[in-house]
Amino acid sequence: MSFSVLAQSDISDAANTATAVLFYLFAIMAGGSAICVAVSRNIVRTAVALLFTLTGVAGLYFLLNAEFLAAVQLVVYAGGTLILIIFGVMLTSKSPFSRFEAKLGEVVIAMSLACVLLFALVMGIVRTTFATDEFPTGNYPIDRLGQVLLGDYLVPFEVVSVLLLAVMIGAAYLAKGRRREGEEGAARSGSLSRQAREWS
Amino acid sequence: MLAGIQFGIIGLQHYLVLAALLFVCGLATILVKRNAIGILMGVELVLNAANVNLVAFNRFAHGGGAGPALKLDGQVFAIFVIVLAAAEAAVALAIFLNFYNNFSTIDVERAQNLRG
Amino acid sequence: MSWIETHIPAWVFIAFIAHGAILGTVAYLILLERKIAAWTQDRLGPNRVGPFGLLQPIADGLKMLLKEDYRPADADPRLFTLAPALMMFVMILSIAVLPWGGTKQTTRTIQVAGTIDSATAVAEQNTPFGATLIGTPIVQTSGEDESAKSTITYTYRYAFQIANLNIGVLYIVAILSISVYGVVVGGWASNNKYSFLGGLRATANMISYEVPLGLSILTIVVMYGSLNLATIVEAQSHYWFGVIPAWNIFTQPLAFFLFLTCIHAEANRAPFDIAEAEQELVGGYHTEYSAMRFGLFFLSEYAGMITTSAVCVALFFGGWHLPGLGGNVDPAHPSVTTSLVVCVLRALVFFVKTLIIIGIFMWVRWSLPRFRFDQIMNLAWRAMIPMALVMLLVTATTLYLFGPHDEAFRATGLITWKMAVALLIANAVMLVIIAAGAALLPAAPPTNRRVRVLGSRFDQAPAAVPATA
Repeated sequence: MSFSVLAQSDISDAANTATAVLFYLFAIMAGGSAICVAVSRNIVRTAVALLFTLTGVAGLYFLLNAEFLAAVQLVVYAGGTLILIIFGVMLTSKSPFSRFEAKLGEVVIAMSLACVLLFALVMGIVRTTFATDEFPTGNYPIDRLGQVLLGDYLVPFEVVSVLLLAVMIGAAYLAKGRRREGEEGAARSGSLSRQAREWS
Repeated sequence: MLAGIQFGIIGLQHYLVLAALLFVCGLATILVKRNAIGILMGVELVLNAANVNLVAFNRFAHGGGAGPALKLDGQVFAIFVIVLAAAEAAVALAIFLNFYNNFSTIDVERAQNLRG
Repeated sequence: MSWIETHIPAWVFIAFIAHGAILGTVAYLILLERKIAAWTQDRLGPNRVGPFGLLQPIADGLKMLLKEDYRPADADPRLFTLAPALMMFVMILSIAVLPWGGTKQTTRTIQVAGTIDSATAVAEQNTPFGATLIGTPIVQTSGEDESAKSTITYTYRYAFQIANLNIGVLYIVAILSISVYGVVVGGWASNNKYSFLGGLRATANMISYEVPLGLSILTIVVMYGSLNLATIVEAQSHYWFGVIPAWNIFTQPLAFFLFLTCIHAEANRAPFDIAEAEQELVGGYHTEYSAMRFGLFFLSEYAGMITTSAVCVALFFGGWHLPGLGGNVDPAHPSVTTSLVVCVLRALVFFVKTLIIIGIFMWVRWSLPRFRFDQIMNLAWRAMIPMALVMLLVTATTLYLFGPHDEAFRATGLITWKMAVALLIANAVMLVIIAAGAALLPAAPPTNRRVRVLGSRFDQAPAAVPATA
């Protein structure tokens, strides 16, 4: 009853074609915008391109039957992390169009390095024979994922939650420290807002 | 060069090639950008490339099985990676904002002083 | 006709009709909003175009299309166009998983020439994509070798919705979390400080309220152990004592209020409309937009309201469920029906319930004044997130304590009346605890200080301020 183009266990031609079309769609979306991330000089455009990469990768997770992971990718990565990054971009770019670019030599070196690496990786992948299941019928129920997370991976799970707590405290501390410093430094700098804060 | 890959039937290698492309783009981003947040975005790309690999291997290398036999290691790893990426972005941005506060720029080339 | 019935899946038609209906309703929601505003403010509202102003949406649409499509000189051209498109795209995508009408069961008879080996294979070939075959097909062969004819009778079921995803609720949350980008990118690309500030405010607002939104959805999800919206709706379509429908509004009223508040904030509407506060920010993120690009922002706001209200109906008001619209196949699966009319009626009921929730949206918008930014953040982080966390914990504990002792709950997974009473009492106790806890908590730092901005009427020369200040 559950609708899924991708969970079809029988490998029929129609399903194959649908999967292939969707794969190339998401792959072009992810790969093309990843290239945009690398070459774009405008930092906000970079961020938007990264959004499309993340969405494309989420689509690939859907194709791989990892539905929960696709949703997590969209909620946490695209909806949380990237928004945070865009916040950072907007708070730190003086004028929205400010840019500082790498030197031409650096760009040439980096790009040629990247091309060589890509060539090597693709050659490696193509020439290797991977031991794969012939017809993977992966259909991953979410409750099983929960059982695995709180069963086999309980210790990493708890460690990660402790880490998240530490990160939350750390980030809050760093952000708060900034404000305190700003108030101390208000006497030195003559900016309007700081002076106003001092008088209040 | 691509002779070994069938274009019609999507297999493991398609995903691996795409992941390689994402990885390389991320690496190039890290190398090229001088904006600290741009570098952070490159790191996110690299992490995504790794995630695509993990999930693809999970699907194609031991895709089958039902009940307790179902292996989900790759997906679990990917979830951990996503969580850690979020944590990393939060701390990194807090540091960048402090950096911006002190230097009025987030050009990483300017981060040369040892005394903030 | 027969080929269409057996090979084109129903969700294709449902997709066309649902999108058409929703986008058409959006236009009339704008008229409704203006009428309600007029009623609240004791005026007439639009009444010039057509009888009672009923053609006003068409006139508005024409105006949007024919206006000059203006773009500021220094705006980022690509992102400026991308932002409204992204908004609309997201809203259209999010309609996909709404469970309009339960499950439709169809029994079909086909005739095939000759004898057949596998009736199941033939039946599968003649089943629309996405439907599942129920039971074993029945084959009757008549005639001799040459003129043999096989009659196959088979039954299949399909969900009367566009896509029946297992992660339904999560899908909607995920898609809606992308809608922030339309606002923030539009605000940035306009190259206008008011737009920019509006975009930043909207982002902070939306990502803060996503947390309690997700948590209040989770309280419902732990009750049924499923993320599938169709399953959640089906689990609500039975009765306590034969009369009270088992809707979640009766078991989790607190979660409903949290959810309702959160979807107000997600929609960026009053009292949470700091992102487009006219008095402060001109028009917020869409200040620089005109013509159809503005129209897309406008439409997507209303489409977003429809989606979130529909999710609210599915989670708390039993979705399509209304006495008399139950299934006629299997008492254990009240969503399954063989009647197409019932499916359509269910979809209509679902839609009317959604419109009632949208009525609440409009009532709230024209009744309450706008919150200040710090009030919104305090409400989210100091009140709603702790409340939602406590609620999740209490719900899980109640289920853990009472679930194993409740035979019917263990057998069917449905919330029995005993469980409902327990959950309701838990809600009440929680409310008392929260009220007590709120009194004990330290007060929020005073943010409403008079800041002596230079040039304002509170501004005094620094010399006039006592040295101790």
